[in-house]
Amino acid sequence: MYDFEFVKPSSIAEAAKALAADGAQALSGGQTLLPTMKQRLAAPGTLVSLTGIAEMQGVCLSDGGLHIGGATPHAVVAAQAKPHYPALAALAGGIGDPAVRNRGTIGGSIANNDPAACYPSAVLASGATVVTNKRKIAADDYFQGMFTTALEEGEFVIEVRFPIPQKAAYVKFNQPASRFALTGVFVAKFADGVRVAVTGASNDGVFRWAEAEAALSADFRAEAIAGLVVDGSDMISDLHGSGAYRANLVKVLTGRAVSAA
Amino acid sequence: MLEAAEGDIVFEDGKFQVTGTDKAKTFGEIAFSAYVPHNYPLETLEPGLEETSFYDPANFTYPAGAYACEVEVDPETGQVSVCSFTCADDFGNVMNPMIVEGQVHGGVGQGIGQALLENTSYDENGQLLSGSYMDYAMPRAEDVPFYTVDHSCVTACTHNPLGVKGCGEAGAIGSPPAVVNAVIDALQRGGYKHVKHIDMPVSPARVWAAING
Ligand SMILES: Cc1cc2nc3c(=O)[nH]c(=O)nc-3n(C[C@H](O)[C@H](O)[C@H](O)COP(=O)(O)OP(=O)(O)OC[C@H]3O[C@@H](n4cnc5c(N)ncnc54)[C@H](O)[C@@H]3O)c2cc1C
Repeated sequence: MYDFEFVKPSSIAEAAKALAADGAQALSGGQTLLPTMKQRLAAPGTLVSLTGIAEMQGVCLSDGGLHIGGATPHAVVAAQAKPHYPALAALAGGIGDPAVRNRGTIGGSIANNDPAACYPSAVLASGATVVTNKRKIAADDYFQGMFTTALEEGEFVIEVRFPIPQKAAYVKFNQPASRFALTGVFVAKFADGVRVAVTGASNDGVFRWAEAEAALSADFRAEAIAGLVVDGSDMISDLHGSGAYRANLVKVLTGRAVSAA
Repeated sequence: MLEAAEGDIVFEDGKFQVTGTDKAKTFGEIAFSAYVPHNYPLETLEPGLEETSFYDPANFTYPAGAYACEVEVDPETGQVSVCSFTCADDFGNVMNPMIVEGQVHGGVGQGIGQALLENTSYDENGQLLSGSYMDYAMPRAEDVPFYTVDHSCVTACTHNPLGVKGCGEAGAIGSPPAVVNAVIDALQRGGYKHVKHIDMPVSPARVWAAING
């Protein structure tokens, strides 16, 4: 690890100021960033911790939706979102191990946008809104490919606002070593239709499966997608599974998520 | 220490005694002074007390065993789970059954890891793809069942005084074929008659590819 400065602001305004400086980088749970720094793959000049800002912590019901502070650890979401949005709580409770869940945060996860991360699928399938220090970004505009988001230099996630679906479920198939999603599917049924988001499968990161959304909006049963074909030729292919295998998982897990919702 | 000639000292009941006198030192006292040699004749005698002997048995030992594994395979995803595992070994006389059971447990866990998870994989340029635990899958507690271990068959080894046989590697030797054969058997019974072989590690992706191959 290289030398760095560390600041821990207690307000969003102070954090925004600190992050505007050259070489500054946000630090939340550190579960992704710190290992990268230890391997000397990242060398930020100043780490700006976001975990000391009260408005960025916790889970609350507001305007009929569930608002989650950007620096809220997965374990807190697993416990506090449970009565309001059980599928989201279950997703958070299935990330990593207890150490990762007690440190890692929703803001860090969706800022990093790892193609195998769990949260991006929930944010996209729920049609959530990502609130930053500068603006509100719709989930459909926020995720822009593997490790890429709409966040600009110095912009950070302060809150994620989830509409609460009538029914939802996340089904994750674990990569055998890391236990990230080899593929994971989040299905959310709203009054005006169904949204299906897939993580772990595509080289472009999390994506919506439009054909399944149409089929399930008409008939919300696993059988409704039986006739659909998923093309795996452009999907992630690595030592844990080919594109064709992931394409198969997309369909199988979507069916299971519908049955579990 | 005893101020006597070597020939006058006898070793009896854990003591070195000068014959015909009551002068004696215990083994512990001798060992202590060998390592705290303040009154040693250092020019003629090196401190320390060491002895090595090598036992060369008349033959190897030949333990034998039978391993039975039950698995469930999810044909849609290729996921294999090990439901039960029973090991019966003849290790000859068993001196410490708990240690021997633990040795078998560890070996079977290692073997299940080899059969289902562990993979040292390189790409075509020789780059290691499974260079950290994010990609190298080690077996964890939840990957293995509780084991049933049996040592009721005891055929004492005839060519060592204790009648014991080797047990260290038995678990790791018996378990990989038991697991892989159980997977193939499950697929055959499930109607996937064309699946006759899957290379280790029998990962979900490989099982699915074999089913759909
Ligand atoms: C062993 C292990 C297993 C894991 N398993 C899973 C899993 O199964 N599923 C899964 O989804 N994830 C998994 N993760 C990742 C985990 O969820 C991380 O916590 C998450 O990816 C990053 O969150 P963090 O709070 O630790 O972010 P950090 O490591 O602090 O930051 C990550 C990146 O995001 C930036 N950042 C942090 N917060 C913000 C913010 N509020 N606004 C803008 N940018 C920000 C940082 O600058 C950095 O670039 C695992 C991690 C580990 C170590």
